[in-house]
Amino acid sequence: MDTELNRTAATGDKPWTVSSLTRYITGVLETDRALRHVWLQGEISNLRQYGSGHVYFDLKDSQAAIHCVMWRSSAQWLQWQPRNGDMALTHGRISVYAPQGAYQLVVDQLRPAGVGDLHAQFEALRDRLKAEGLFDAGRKRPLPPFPRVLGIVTSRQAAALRDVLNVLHRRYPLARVLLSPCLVQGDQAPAQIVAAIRRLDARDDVDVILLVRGGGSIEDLWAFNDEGVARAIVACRRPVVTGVGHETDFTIADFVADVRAPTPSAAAELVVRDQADLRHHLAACDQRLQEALRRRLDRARHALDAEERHLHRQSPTTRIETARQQVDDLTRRMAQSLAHSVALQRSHVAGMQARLAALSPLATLERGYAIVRRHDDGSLVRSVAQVTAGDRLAVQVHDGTFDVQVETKNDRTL
Amino acid sequence: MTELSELSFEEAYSQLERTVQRLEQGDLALQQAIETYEWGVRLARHCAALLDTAELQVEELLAGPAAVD
Repeated sequence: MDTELNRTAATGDKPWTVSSLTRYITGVLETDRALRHVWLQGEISNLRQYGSGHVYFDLKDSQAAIHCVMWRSSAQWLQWQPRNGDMALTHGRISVYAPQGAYQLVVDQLRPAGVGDLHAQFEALRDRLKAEGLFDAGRKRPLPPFPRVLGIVTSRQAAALRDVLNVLHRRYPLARVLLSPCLVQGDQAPAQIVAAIRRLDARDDVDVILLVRGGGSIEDLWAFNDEGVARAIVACRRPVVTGVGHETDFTIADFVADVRAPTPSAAAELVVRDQADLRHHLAACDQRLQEALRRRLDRARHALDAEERHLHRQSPTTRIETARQQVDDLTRRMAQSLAHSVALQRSHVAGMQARLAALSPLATLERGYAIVRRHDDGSLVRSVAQVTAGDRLAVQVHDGTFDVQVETKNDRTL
Repeated sequence: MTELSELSFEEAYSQLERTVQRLEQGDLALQQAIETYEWGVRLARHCAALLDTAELQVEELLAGPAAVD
């Protein structure tokens, strides 16, 4: 045995302890969804009832048996005294009894099979009403967006009522609540629920009706599987919202209601909008108003600017200014061209004067030349041949004349 | 225009939504746009004030003697 242990330990395959394997099996069985809600029908055998109030028995058929236990908390409500050999219908969940290594059904409902089979009744009524079209989606009425008066059908003491009022108070305090009290459990409950619905529906101010009840066993919720209740909901002039039991509980009332909520609180949440959302939306509206007005004002301002620019272009002042500028411009150009022409004339005259001066003999005389004329006839002497000794000549220099007499002549230039 | 104080939350709320849309269309004359804006702001304030002052009213309908549990 030691070697076996060492071998398994060496491979890391540690052996379970009995407790740990039992815990593991317990976990597997008790977390399986199918095994948590079990309807089981079979023959009762080995029935034991002890002073503790707990009831033990087996349910068997021809080939198998399952241990069952019904704790006092459930067994105390038993309206039927089971005996060995009776066919019974039970509801419960599978659990593990570790000290004996046994699995068992922990029963919360036990009744004779066949007669008064609630589940079968439920299915029969459900199928019948469904065939009548009472579950059709097209029959369902929309909920008013802002109900002012909410009718609530439930028990005055119900925790469900407190839950609903808390939700309404928190989410939508604008509402007015009319409680139409009734029993929600027991033989008289269906008739009271019907009456409570009708009392609300007879009024003209009710916008929507909530039919609610907290969680409980299937018997606790049985009034909501009543045909009369279902037909009262169908006949109601106002939309009806149900919130019965827990999320997993479905009743006939849920099927015919206009809206089915999983719980009473959820029903309240479905019928009113949350004031936090409403306030958020109000703030958003405010923002949008500001934005829209700003855009409108911007547009008006731009249009005004455009008009102003247009007007400015049409203004006589502008035209006068333009004309004035044109006059100035012309005046300036005129003065410019006049000055130009005077200067041109002046330089022209100066040029001619210069040319005149260059052609005058006086300028040559200034440089030291002289003009010689014969005294007798005033003719210019250009050549030696024109004079003879003794001739009298007049010599003109730049600042006057004087007379001379020719003494000799040479016919060669210097 | 209607007296603001006479409007229920629902009426004021839906009028506010219409007012916002009207102004956002942008085709109002300037004076009308300003009036629409002011009306919208008053509607929003009215709605908020109704929420601020609201207290859930709970009444019980008188039932038959059997309706006791």
